[in-house]
Amino acid sequence: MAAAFDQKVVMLFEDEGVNALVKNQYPESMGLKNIAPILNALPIYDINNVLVEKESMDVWGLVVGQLAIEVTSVSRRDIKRQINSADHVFSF
Amino acid sequence: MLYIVNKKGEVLENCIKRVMANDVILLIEEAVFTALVTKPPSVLSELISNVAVYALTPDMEARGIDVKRCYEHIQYVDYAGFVELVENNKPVRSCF
Amino acid sequence: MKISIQINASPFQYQAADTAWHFIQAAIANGHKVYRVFFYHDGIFNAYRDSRPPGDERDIVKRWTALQAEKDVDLVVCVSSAQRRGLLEKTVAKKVGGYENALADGFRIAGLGLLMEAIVESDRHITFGA
Repeated sequence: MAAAFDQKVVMLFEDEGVNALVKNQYPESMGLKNIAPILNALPIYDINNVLVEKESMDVWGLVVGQLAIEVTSVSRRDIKRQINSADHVFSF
Repeated sequence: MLYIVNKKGEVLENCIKRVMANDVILLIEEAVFTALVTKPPSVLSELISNVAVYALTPDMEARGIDVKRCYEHIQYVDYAGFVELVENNKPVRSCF
Repeated sequence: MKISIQINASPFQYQAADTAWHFIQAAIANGHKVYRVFFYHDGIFNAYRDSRPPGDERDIVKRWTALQAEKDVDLVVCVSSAQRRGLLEKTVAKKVGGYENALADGFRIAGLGLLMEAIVESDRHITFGA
């Protein structure tokens, strides 16, 4: 939606949020929504900048190769620098 | 940057992990309990270097929390002060 | 300062809506403009016309209605959040045979585009969540 408004958007996954990106999820087995199609469609909406926090990945024992989409792993410190320059922060 | 935190536990801890100098934390709703001196000490028992921690006084009054029972470095604002914190800090991040 | 507000939580289990309402009062009293309040996810429960809290509890729905009437604050309920929870806009309800009078006075139902527009137009956007 933000991309449709010509806004520069960076998506960040941190803490347990990084688990939302792992491959081989089968939420349909429980009648739940699969977000993989939405994640795969992000580039269509010009969201090419998906970041994961390196420290969170380490906590959960994950490497980027285990994730369903292409991401950039960034340190907490560098993420903070990016956030500080943002106009708005959306939390989910 | 202003962090608005409404919960104790992991939500507050995740915020504290990330604050840097000149950030501001505002405790609202249930999070005001963490301003209280406790044994063992709460995660806010020590001043975080160059980070101001505020608690919202109406939420403290609602919960019967007396400032005398709180850590000395905690500062206090009412809703007008909350608005000022929002005005003076950018961006604003809600942690819930 | 132009401020937009987002409320994600239901008003009967969480304090988010109350905190938001008090914040908005203070912001307006201090000369700021509250551009829009966007009710998202369970936040849409702030907009049910037929909410009937007991006499000793605050009537949050009426508070929002009064806020719009007295201070002209734009109250927008997210259409996809609302439809999932059975809060239908009048014309939609008529078409599908649902309850036509569900939405309290002062609110309107619209899409996420209005949330985005509010953010683009505002100096600050604050989310009040569960």
